[in-house]
Amino acid sequence: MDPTDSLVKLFYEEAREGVEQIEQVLLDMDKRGADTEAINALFRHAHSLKGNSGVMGFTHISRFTHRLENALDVLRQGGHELTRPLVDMMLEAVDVIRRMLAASQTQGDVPEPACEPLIQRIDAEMRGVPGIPVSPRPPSGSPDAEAPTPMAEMIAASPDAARYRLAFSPGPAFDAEGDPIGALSELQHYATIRSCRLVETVPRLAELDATVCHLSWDAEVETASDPVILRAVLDLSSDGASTHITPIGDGAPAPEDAPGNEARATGMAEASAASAASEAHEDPTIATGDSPAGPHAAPIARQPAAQPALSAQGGPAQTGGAAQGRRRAEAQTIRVATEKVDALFNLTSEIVIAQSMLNAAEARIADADARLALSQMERHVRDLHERVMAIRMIPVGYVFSRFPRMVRDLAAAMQKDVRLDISGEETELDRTLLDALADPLTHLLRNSIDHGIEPPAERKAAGKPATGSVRLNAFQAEGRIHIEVADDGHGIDPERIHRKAVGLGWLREDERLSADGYYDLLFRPGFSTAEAVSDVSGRGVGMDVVKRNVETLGGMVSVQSELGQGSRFLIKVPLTLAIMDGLVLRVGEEHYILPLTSVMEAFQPASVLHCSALGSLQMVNVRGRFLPLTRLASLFAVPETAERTSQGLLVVLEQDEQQVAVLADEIVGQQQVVMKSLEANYARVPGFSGATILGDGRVALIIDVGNIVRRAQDASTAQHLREPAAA
Amino acid sequence: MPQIKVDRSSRGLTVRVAGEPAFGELDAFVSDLRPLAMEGCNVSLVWTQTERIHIAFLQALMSLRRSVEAAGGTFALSVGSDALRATLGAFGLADALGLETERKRGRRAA
Repeated sequence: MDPTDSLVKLFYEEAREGVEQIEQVLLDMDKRGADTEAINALFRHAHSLKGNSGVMGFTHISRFTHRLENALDVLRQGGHELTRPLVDMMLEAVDVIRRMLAASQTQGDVPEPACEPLIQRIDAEMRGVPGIPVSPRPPSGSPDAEAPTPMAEMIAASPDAARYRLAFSPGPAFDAEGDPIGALSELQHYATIRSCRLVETVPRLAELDATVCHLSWDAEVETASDPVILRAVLDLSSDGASTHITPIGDGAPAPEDAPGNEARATGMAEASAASAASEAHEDPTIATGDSPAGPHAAPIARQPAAQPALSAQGGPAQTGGAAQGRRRAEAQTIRVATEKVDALFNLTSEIVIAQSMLNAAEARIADADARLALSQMERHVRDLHERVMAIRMIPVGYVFSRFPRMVRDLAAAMQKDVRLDISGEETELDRTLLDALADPLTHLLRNSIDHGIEPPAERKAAGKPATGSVRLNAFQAEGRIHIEVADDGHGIDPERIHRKAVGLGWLREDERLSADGYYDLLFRPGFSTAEAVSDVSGRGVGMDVVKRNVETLGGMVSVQSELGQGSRFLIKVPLTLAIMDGLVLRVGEEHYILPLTSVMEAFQPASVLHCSALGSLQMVNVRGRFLPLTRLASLFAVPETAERTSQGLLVVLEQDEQQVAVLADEIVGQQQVVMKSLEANYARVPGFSGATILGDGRVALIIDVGNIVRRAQDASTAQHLREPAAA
Repeated sequence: MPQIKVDRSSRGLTVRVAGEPAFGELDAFVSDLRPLAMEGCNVSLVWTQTERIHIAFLQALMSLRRSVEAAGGTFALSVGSDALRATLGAFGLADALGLETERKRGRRAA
């Protein structure tokens, strides 16, 4: 199987989404209780996964999901209530399917040893407890009926319907897993059954070995799908099933004209016959062992033509108005590979750079019409770029959706009761950023459950609800995306951090830090206050990785905590790493970019500035506020042209409510810049978050404002600590 | 295990089967059917509450029908599930089982 094949890729995409949906629905039901709609949704996802994996030849996945589907069918028909152990087992099944999908990508159709024991446990659980009535299966035309997946539509997309002769036998013997009736039923989703003849050699009861199969079918079907799909559906019905499919051309024998055999034949009876012709055959003669069995012994009825061959999954449901509405709605979106979007984005970025070059040359264009056209093009290019950017933006819920399961499993493993409240899932973030945030968020959540939330007994003793609360929230503020992970656990104890830091030799016994200073230690490599190392945490890795990963994204992470009340970790990241509005500075002969969102003001310092030095630390007085001053020329080791501070230009920057001033030689202008990764193209350079190409073709480095602020703060703190010593 | 209940009347036997038999119960199911075949009288099976049934059970019923009719009795089967009835009808199984359809019932009533 070619993994680059579009159908294969589509299968894995849909399978992954289907598994995630199953998991999500199970977790929702575990939290809020089962309802018919949710169980129907579970059934639909399992059904699609079964059908699609069967078509792809992954029989083990298909059979496993089929048996899960059976269990779900019992649930939706009210045969059993959804118990907590059943949810646990269904979630295990989700993990098993994930493993099988992963294995199928490298090993093909291989069995998974965990399947059978798990199914047996599910069966045992469902036999053990009688049911609570659940609403029955929705009618096929209802909105709850299965909708075709893109893959199902793709595999059924052949415009030309063809007829086939189909001979099917469930096998020489029946087995427990086999479900020929289900397979035959499913066959109708993929093909219109033109005629069907049951061939049976069933003996009298006295001679019957009930496990030996005496049945087979001979059918004529019409389908627009690849006949391999029909074979897959039927061959899945049992281990020994055999299916032979041959195309029927003009004049080829139809099943009813096929040579007779010694077996009895029974024609297909129409499910909802209405025509006079079928009425004439209403009371079919059944050939028995005592009566002659000829090829025309039974009437051949016709399937109603309403069955659309287009749908591989929906079957009759697709004729319903609701299904048509859903299909119309689905037609509003298309599935596009991310690499295609990235390629489009990169190309658009190059256009933006080219536009910047044109803008730089605008002054040399004398023709008024050309200047007007250039102005219009600039607007369109900006609009184009913003729209392409919007395509890359996806809701953070895409990443958040993985956490309910993780929190549930972790809490159970640690014997804690934890409720995860998620909000702001619709907040959109650049896909690249979002992918990179998954690990830091995982670390923070794991730490909240492991270190933050107390065991139920401890919480009760502290007057708290036994169930701990962890909140995961996303929102946009200050031109950035904020994601907070907060818990109502016992909070961070600065004294405990102090003792640990002293033990590590990081602090002297009498050396005290502010609360924020202690919290900063949490992010240093090798720090952990966990008493014991567990699978979850305690090895001192994680929080430093959180910080490093977030900073790599141009973001920052901060902590607030109150002992006994809980902790709040806040991650702030830019909306996108791809493009931003920047202020272009000249320092010496070099140009640098400052993110405009961090710039508070810029001015010639001469009239307002009082500059003083505290040791090596320079401060500027900006309308009564003393701000640490960073000379960019010194910082970047480039010769500055402004000999005196008053000849340069001061830019006040703010990040995380901290302000600093930087001195540059000149503001060149303000422009939208396309960010290029330094790491990807060269190496990580501290102090810079990336690079861009300016309109004149030169490369400008993008200043990491967070780094500047931290440097200034560190220098200020160090100076502050030195002063008493000097005194 | 499916619940099997046999009612005797002057018109014969009515056998009610409720629930979904598991494949492992096939042998027991056939054993329960064997006495019915021996009686050689009218048998009416009413299968309810079942949408999914292993085909081996249906084959056993076909076998029962063959035995009953060979002994001069009559056999009728009705199935409670519309979906199962439709599938049986679409693939010739309804006829092979003597499954009562709505129209058959309506015509008989008329």
